[in-house]
Amino acid sequence: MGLLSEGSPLTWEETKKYSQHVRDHGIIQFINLYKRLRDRQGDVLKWGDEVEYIIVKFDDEKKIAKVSLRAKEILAKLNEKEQADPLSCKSLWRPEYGAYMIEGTPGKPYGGLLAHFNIVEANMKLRREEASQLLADDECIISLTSFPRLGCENFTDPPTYPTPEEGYTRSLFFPDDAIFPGHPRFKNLSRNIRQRRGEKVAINIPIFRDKNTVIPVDDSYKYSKAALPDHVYMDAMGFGMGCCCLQMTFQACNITEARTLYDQLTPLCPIMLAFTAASPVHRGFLTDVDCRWSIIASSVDCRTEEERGLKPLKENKFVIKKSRYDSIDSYLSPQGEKFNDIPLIYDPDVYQKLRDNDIDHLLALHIAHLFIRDSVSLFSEKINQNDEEDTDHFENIQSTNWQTMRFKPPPPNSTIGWRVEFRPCEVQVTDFENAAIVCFVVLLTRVILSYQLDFLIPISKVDENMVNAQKKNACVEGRFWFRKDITTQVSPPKASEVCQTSKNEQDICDSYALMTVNEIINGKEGEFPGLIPLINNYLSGMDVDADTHCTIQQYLKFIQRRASGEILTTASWIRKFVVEHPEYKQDSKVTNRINYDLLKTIDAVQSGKIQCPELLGTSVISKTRENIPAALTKESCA
Amino acid sequence: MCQSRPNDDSVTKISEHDSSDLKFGFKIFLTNEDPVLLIDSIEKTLITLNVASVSNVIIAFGEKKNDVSEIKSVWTALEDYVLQNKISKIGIADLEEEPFRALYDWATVKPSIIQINLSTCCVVSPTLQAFCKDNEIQLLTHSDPTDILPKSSLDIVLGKEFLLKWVVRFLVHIKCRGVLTTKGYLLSLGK
Repeated sequence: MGLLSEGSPLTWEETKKYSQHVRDHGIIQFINLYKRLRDRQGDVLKWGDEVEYIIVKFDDEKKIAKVSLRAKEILAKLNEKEQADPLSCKSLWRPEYGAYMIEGTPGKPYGGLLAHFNIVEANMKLRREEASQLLADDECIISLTSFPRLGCENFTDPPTYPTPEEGYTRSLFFPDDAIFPGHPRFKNLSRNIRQRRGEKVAINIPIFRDKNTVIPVDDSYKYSKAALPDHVYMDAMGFGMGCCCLQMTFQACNITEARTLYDQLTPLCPIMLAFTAASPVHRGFLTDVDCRWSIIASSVDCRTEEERGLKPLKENKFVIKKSRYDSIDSYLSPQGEKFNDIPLIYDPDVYQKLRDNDIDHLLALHIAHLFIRDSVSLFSEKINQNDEEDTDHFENIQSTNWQTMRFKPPPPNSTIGWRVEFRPCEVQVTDFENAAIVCFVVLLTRVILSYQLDFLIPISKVDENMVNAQKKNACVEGRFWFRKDITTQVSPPKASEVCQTSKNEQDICDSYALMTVNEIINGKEGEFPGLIPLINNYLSGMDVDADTHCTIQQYLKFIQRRASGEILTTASWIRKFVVEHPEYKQDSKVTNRINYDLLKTIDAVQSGKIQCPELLGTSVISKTRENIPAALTKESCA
Repeated sequence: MCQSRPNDDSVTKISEHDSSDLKFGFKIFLTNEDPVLLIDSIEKTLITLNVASVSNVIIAFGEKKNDVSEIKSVWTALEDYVLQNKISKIGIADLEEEPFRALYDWATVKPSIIQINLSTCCVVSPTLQAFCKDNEIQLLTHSDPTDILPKSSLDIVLGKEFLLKWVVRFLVHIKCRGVLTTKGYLLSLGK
C-alpha cells in the first residue's frame, strides 16, 4: 500500500505543521532525482505482480467464516526466508492494511523472455502454498477482493469490537483491532485521513434491490447523518483499503517509454476493472455495483468540506474533484497532451519550480498535481532529509496518491529503472485467473511497443468509463469509449494491415466509439481488430517455446470467454451464488451461512477440489512450471 | 532484378537501434533441397538488412521430410554459416521426431531449435520434450501454413506464372524487452 518507513508516527496536528515542509523538500528531491536519472537508458523489461490475500477462519460447526487477524504472526514467519536469503528466495511478503491481509510478490522480477510468462502461475501457486503451510487446519487464504461480511457483527477472529467514540477509525462497524498492528502506518493513516477530512469517511454504495429488500437497509442513518438509507453505508478506511487487489509493475527502457506505457495503459484501466469485477457484496449486503474502486476512493477521501466544494475556500487552497485514490487526471506523453481535457488542479508554484528546473510541461503538471495533497503519514525520524540523496518526502506524497496508474522514478542508488504500475484490477479467486490477467496485460504492453499502437482517448472519456466499469455486469452489458483507429502513423505496415480500420479519421472526435468489453478484447468485424487477435499476431512474430505458448493460449482463451460472457465474472458468479443459496431470502442480505458456503466454495474452486466451469471455463490447466528451460536461459535476459 | 515494397521502413527501423541490442532471426521456406537456394536466400537477406550475422536461422521445407538424407546437403550449407560465425543457432521446422533425432545424430553443428506448429504445442510427445530438454534444444512454435505462398495467390498477384524459389521471413527483436522491432519477407522468383 505504499512506503513503510520505520519510526514514530506524528500526530495529525504535527503532520499538518510539516505539510509544506514535506511538499517543498519532496519537490526538490524529485528535481534532483530527475536530473540524475532523466537520461538513464537501456533498461530491459522486468516486471512483477502483487497478489493480496485474506486469511479466513472457518467454524465448521456453526458454519461461520471470519477473517483471521493473524497476518502479523504469519508474516513474521513468511519473512524469515527473505531475511535468511534475500537474493534467492522465491517470494516476498508484505503487510497490508487489514490485520487479516498479506501481500505476496515473486522473489525477483520476471524478465524479458516470453518463457517468463510460463512461471508466473507456478510462482503464484508456490506463494499460496507457502502461506497456507503456516495456517491452522481451520484457516485458509483466499484471494478475494472483498470479504463479504467485513464490518458485520463479530466478523473477526479473535473477536474485536468497533469503538465509535474513540481510537483511530471511530467506525460504527470496523474495529481498530482489525487494522494491521505490526506497523504504525496503517492506523496512523486512518486517523490522519479522518482528522484531515474533519469527519469520518463516508461510503455509500447503492443496495441491490431484490423482491424483499427493506429500505432503509439498516439503522445506520440513525447513527450517522452521512448514511443514505437506500445504500450500504460504511464509515472506515478498512472497508476500502481492507480490499485485495491484483497489481503489476513494468520497467521501461527509459523515461520516454515509461511515459508512453503510462498513457497507453490508461484507457485500458476501466476495461480491465470491468473485466476483473469481483466485489458485489459489502458489509453483508448485495450491492448494485461490482467493483471495489469507488469504495476505496471514498474510504481514503481526506478532502475537507472546502476541498469538496461544500464550503467556500478559507483554510484550504483548492477545490479538488477527486479523492487521492482515483483515476489519473492527465496523460504524460506528447501524444497524450491533446487528450488532457479535464481541468487539472495543480499547485502553480510547484509547477513553476519544476519548469525552472528544466522539467517539461506535462511532467511538471503531473507532479504539481500529485503535490496538491498533504502528507497524511509522517514519521519523526524522517522529517529532516538529505535532498540530494533521499526521496522519502517525494515518495510520501507519491505513494499516497493511489491512482489507476503510477509513474515510478527509479529508487535512489539502485539498478532499477523507470517503471509504470497498473493498478485497477480486482484480484481473482484462482492463480490461473490471476496469472492469465497479469500475462494478458504484460503482453499488451509488448504489443503496444512493438506495433506502436495508440489507445489514447480524451481523459474525460476514460473517467466516464471508470464510472460505467463499476456497474453491475458491466463486463457484459457495459459500453465503453475506446479508440477505433489504434495504428499510429509510425506503426509498421503489418499493424495497419491487421487493424483494417480506415486511416482517414484524423479528427479526435471520430477516433473513438462506444464498444463492449467483448468487442475490445475479441474484436468487431470491420471496426476494431481486438486485443487478443493483436496479441496473437505479435506472438506469431516472436520465438515462443511450446509450453509457454500452450499456457498463453489457455490464458487468452479464458480471457476471450470471459469477455464474451460465455463464462461469468467473479462478481456475477458471487451474485449468482448468493441469490441461488437456499438461505437467501431475496432481501439482499448475505448471512453468515451464505458467507460460509461461498468462502468454502471459493476455497474448493481455488484448490481444484471442485470444478467451476461457469467461472473458469473448461480448460484451466496450463503448462506452468517453476523454472525456465535451460535451453532458453542461455538467452542473456533470463 | 530486385524489387522492394514501397515505404519499406525495415532498414530504418533497424538503424534506430544499436545493433548489439537487436536479435535477428530468419525463417527460410525452401522449395527444394538445393543448397544453392539456401545460400542465395541467406546472402540476399543479409545484404538487404545490412547485417553481418544473425542469431538464428530456421529452415522449413514445403514438403514433409521423412528421411534425413534429403536434408543433409542443405544442412551442411547451413553449418558452414555457423562455422563462419555468421549464424549462432540453426534449427528446422515441422520435422517429425525420428528424422529430427537422426539429423541431430548426424549433424556436425547440431540443431539448437525445432519449430512445431502452434496447434500442437499443448500435445508435444513426452519423448521429444525429453530429447529437447536433455540436449538443450529450444522447442518453439510457429503459426505458418505449410505452403507459405500458394502458387495460385502468386499468379494472381503477379499476373503471370513464376516459379517460387524461396521465401525468407526476417524478425528483428530488441533483446530482453520482448519487443518486435520489425518483421518482413523476402522472396525469390524464377521463370
